Amino acid sequence: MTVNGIFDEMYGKDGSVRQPYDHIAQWLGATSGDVFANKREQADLLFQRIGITFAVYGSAAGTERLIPFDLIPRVIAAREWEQLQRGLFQRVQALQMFLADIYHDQNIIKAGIIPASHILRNDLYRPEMKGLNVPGNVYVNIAGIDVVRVSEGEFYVLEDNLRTPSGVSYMLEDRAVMMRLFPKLFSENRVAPVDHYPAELLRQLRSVAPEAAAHSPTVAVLTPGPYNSAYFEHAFLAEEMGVELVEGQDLFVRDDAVWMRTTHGPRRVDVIYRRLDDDCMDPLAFNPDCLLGVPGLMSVYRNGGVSLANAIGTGVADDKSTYPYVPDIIRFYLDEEPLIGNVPTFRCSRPDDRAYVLDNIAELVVKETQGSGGYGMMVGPKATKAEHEKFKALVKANPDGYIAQPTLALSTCPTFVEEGVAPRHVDLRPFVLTGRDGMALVPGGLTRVALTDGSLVVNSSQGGGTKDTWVLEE
Amino acid sequence: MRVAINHETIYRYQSAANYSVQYLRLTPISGATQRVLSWKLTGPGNLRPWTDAFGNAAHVLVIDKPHEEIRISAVGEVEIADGGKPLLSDGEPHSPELFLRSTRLTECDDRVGRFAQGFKPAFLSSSRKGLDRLMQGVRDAVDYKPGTTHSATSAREALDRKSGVCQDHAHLFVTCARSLGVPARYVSGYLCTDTAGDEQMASHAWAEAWVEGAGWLSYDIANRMSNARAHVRVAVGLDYLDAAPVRGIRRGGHGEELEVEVSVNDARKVKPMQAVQPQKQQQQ
Amino acid sequence: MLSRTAENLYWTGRYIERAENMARILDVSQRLAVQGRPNANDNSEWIAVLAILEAQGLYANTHGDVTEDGVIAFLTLDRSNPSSIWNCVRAARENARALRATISVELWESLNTTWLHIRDMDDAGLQARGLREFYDWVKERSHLFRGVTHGTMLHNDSFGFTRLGTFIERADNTARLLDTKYHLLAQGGSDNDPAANYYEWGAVLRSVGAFRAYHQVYHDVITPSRVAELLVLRPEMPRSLRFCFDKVTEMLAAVSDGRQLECERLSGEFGARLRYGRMESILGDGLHEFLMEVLDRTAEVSEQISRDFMMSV
Repeated sequence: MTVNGIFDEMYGKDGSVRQPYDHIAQWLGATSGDVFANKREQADLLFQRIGITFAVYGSAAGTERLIPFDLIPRVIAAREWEQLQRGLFQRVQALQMFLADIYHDQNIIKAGIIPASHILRNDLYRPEMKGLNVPGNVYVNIAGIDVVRVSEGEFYVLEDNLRTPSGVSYMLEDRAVMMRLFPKLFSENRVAPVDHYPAELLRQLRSVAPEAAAHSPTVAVLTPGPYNSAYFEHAFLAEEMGVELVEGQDLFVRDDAVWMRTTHGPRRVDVIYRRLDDDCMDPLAFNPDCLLGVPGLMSVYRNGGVSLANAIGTGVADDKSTYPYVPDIIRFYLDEEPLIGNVPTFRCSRPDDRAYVLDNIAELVVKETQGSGGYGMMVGPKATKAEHEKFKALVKANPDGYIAQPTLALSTCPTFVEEGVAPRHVDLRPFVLTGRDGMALVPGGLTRVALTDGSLVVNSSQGGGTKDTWVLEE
Repeated sequence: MRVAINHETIYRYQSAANYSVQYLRLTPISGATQRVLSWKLTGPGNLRPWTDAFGNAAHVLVIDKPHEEIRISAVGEVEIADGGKPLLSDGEPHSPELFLRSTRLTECDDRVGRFAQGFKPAFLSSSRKGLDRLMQGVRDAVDYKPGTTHSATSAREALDRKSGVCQDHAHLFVTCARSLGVPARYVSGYLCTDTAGDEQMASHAWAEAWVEGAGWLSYDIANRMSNARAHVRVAVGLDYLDAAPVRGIRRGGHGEELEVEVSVNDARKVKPMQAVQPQKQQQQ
Repeated sequence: MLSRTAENLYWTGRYIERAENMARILDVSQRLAVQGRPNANDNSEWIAVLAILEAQGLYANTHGDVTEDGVIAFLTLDRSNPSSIWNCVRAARENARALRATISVELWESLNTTWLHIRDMDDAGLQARGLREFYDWVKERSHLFRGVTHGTMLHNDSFGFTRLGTFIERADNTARLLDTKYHLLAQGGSDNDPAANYYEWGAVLRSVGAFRAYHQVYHDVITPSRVAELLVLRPEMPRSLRFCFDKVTEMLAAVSDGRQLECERLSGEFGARLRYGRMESILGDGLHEFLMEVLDRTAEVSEQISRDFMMSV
């Protein structure tokens, strides 16, 4: 892995335009700044009208804002994508097998690969799932795997998101807006389409319906409601798939099944695509104070009367403390070497690693385990001495709660900024779908871009933006 | 010892509830410590069996039309094995290590942690010695006084109040045991007492702790008794919420009144005793 | 569709209609108060309004004595009166907000704009603007709502439930409006008092936008019994009880999709009485009693709609 030079996706290592970006380079050169400024305004208006806003944490209550969209697409060549896809499928498959194993025979624990305490004492491991057979052994129907690139063929997985991964609506809307603003660009470049994602998602969801479901199973999207920051996506996907968008209060249980309250009477639901945390799914089984879910749901789930996508209890597999074990997980279940590696990770729970982290904290990215969104995190090279000390103390006090990674030189991609076009760091979140019949990956994903010069933080909740992601057809 | 149990739970509402769903854990299972000779659970509406996260024989009761009363009755006979045999973990869904987890009701904060540390020397000597001392210590620290706590009281709160009922004793005991590295779990069931011919039956809560080489040993903290021999196990879990006899939610139904009666099931129905805080239903 | 969606659509329709009719009731009461009437004390108009809205108790608790200004404030911008125009607009918008994923952008924007306009209004602002102008504005926004609904919503169940709300509310409110005025005016006048009738009943007609409509139907002087007939039995008058019940039955048939539901039967049953009724009999038996029955029937149909569509457990 290269740490010295930063790999730019358009200009590569020696400054000449890489082949996938040939047309983009021409387009950038041939289009005036005024035209771009104009198109940017149009894009903003389009996004406003669609309503694809996002509630930003820490801002005044109810503030909605647009996630900035950058007009320059991020381009991936067909063979690069193929390489990525193989690695992603391998990883997701291994994680499914891992979940099936820890919720049944726990062979990986017996083999000494992962300590029992790591699994059994993790709150994300749900006793309710022990012994439960899920249709097709599919625990993670939708996986958002965050991937970064450091050089020509070098990709690393930064993080797995196996609970309620979000962002696919941006992938789809970014493409829709680009096609509207620059139709010629699409006739000049052979970009693989992405708009079949909702149809593919629906197909995969239906495939995991309970055996007893009628030949045409009913799918519904369960949302916490309009006050949730990702509500737009819930509503968008429900509409694109042609299924109902429900809240907990629209559902009830009876006769070992889950039903929707409709104007035509109760209608059975077979598969719930749920965008609720585990803890909120059933107040009679989990947190009694969270009434967003369906009381009685777990009894139906355990009796096989309804399928949940993603299954309960997948968090133990995407927890930051499990991340360092994933390469071993791949080896254990598939007897293969990982095609895409992990970012080297130091586990503060291990004395040697911890010592290294404390000594070198100024150069490392320290992440809290069981956190998300980048808050319980410190980027060493960008932080102050005081923050270094603060995190050193945190690590000492709770070593199990932290991992650390070297700062990666994420690849950059040309992006419109104040001064014109400049390179900014990007990552990629492809969405891997798994159903009874196998996996599917729509060519593309969500490219997130850190808009501040030098910043490595791409999370939208902290000021990142998005780009349309192109996978070129061969 | 053979016991015959009659357990009635009645919820009444001043204005009708439209819909209610309950998880019932009112069915004991046969095992090393007991043999269920007969058992019948009856309730209104739709009653479906299911096995919960901890292997308990649960039911889900759904009433989906307007109702002003819910009457649930569990009746049966159980033969309790002599000598209080310890349970091994074979055939159980989870390995004992799972029961080192903490929950909201069994959270070990500084205060509880310090209290637990007081028993560490005893544990260094032997687990059993430690557990016995812990049991006595918890019972000493928390007086038996119904009405000062409720079903959502945590171990820490019970310790602060210095009083509670068997549920609180069990919570504090398991919290402390876990903090000292001993897996422990909450047990809900029935206790049969016979004082000079006066036989009584009550809902009760106690604990089990895992001792390597021995198995799950029972500790009835409220009665300072290890090796349960007059106890019928009905459900286990990490805390009360996992093992509650009735846990439910309703829509509508204001002015809830709850009546619980546990008695010896025959003509000699003597004063029924109610030791566990029965839980009011959540209103949605 | 989801019961909750149907419920939200239904109530959005009801609340906007209620806001409009509240403006109409206030409008006619003011016109009559301005005209002055023999044998009437100053407050009778307003006492009657509170009575027909069954709001005397709530008013007494919050405003005390009955005065024109007090009642107007109570019914327009009072935040604590659930049926004030302010609260009706707020409730309509809240219901629509839960529906944002379902309704058209234009429909949302029309309701949201109405709300934003009234949200921070106070009595001083209202007086400055002028009450008449305010009532006109409320009516306009209601017309806009119906227009956008009719023009942008698919004419399927969404449309059906929204319209159900509109017409149930209109039937209820029309009965109340007619009852207030007939009661009061019938004390002082009769069919044989053309001058009084022209001004007083004219005011009633104007407040429901039916002054010219009356003349188109009757080609004759205004009489109380004919005004009553126009508002109760005439099928072509869009505010008549007959029209409302016809619409309700029609919408219920549409959304029932072939099922024979009790709410449709109830609506049809009462609708038949309106279809085949004669004004002379109704007046003979007592218009007030009849209108009270209308209120009961309307409430009954509404409750049954709830049971049949929205409370499936």
